[in-house]
Amino acid sequence: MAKMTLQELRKLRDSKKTEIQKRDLSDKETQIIVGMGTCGIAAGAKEVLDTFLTQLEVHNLNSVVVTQTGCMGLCYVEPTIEVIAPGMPSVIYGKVDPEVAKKIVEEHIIHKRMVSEHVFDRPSVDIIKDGGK
Amino acid sequence: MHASICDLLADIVQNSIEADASLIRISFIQTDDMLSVEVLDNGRGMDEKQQIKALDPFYTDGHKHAARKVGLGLPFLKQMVDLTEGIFSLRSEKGKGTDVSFTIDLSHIDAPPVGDIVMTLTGLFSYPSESEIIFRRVFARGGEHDEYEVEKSGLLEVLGDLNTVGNLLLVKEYMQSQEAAVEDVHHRVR
Repeated sequence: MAKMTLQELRKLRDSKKTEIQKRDLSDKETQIIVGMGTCGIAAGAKEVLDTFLTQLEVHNLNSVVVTQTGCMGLCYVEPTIEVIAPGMPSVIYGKVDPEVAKKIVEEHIIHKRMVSEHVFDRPSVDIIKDGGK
Repeated sequence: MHASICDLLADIVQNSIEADASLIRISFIQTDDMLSVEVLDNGRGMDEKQQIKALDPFYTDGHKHAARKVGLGLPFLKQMVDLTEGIFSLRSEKGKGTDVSFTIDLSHIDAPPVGDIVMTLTGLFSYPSESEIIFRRVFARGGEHDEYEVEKSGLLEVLGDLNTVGNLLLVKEYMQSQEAAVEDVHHRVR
């Protein structure tokens, strides 16, 4: 298999841009921050990052921003990720593995329902009581 | 503990980013069973005292985390190299930069797996920082040889940003095609 050149990468990007017809513009405001400090790396945050990328693409959410940060201070529950989605409070999830990442994409990002059992930094209690709605 | 060489590498490159390096050169040279890795940066560097402290797991320079009591990246790496009877070197000059290098025998019974180069580099290229990162990968086995080089600035120029899902998947695909060519050499020579 020949190595892709930067030119080919550019062509691929342009072709993917035209493929996206109907796009939910609100997905641009959604941001996922993956903790990638020593603790995160050791706990498998890389696989979690990979899962978010593939799952978000499966659901056609290609404009979601996915960035990384160093340790968020929650080393004991790594991997941790923060989700900032419109209409939802900002949440930090802990003990995230590929299964949980998949759940977060389906429940939190798409259905606007928090995955309560993995919330580690929570917004105020009354929001949790309402099921995140 | 870091499960793979790539995990250890990610930690070291992050150190370079946090040292405010504007240029980080990573070379990953695999010849038969030997692996030589070098991370060279032009960040703030360390004087001799700091270099000794950097290898102490209970030392961190306080930049990353004011309350942190451990700094494990370099100690983990040195431990792995010692366990596999490899060669480790840390050279640094305050105000100029740092060079972390190691060479190990991948066939050593205690050598960790190389790990996921594609995902690790995708993560490093997209880690928030102004640093340019140049990754050079060389693979040689039984007389056959292949190599590639990827620059973060090149990817950024083509894609515009490195933090949307669409673009990150393109980086991953690009890296996969570079690695696949290297894997071809590996299989051809088996």
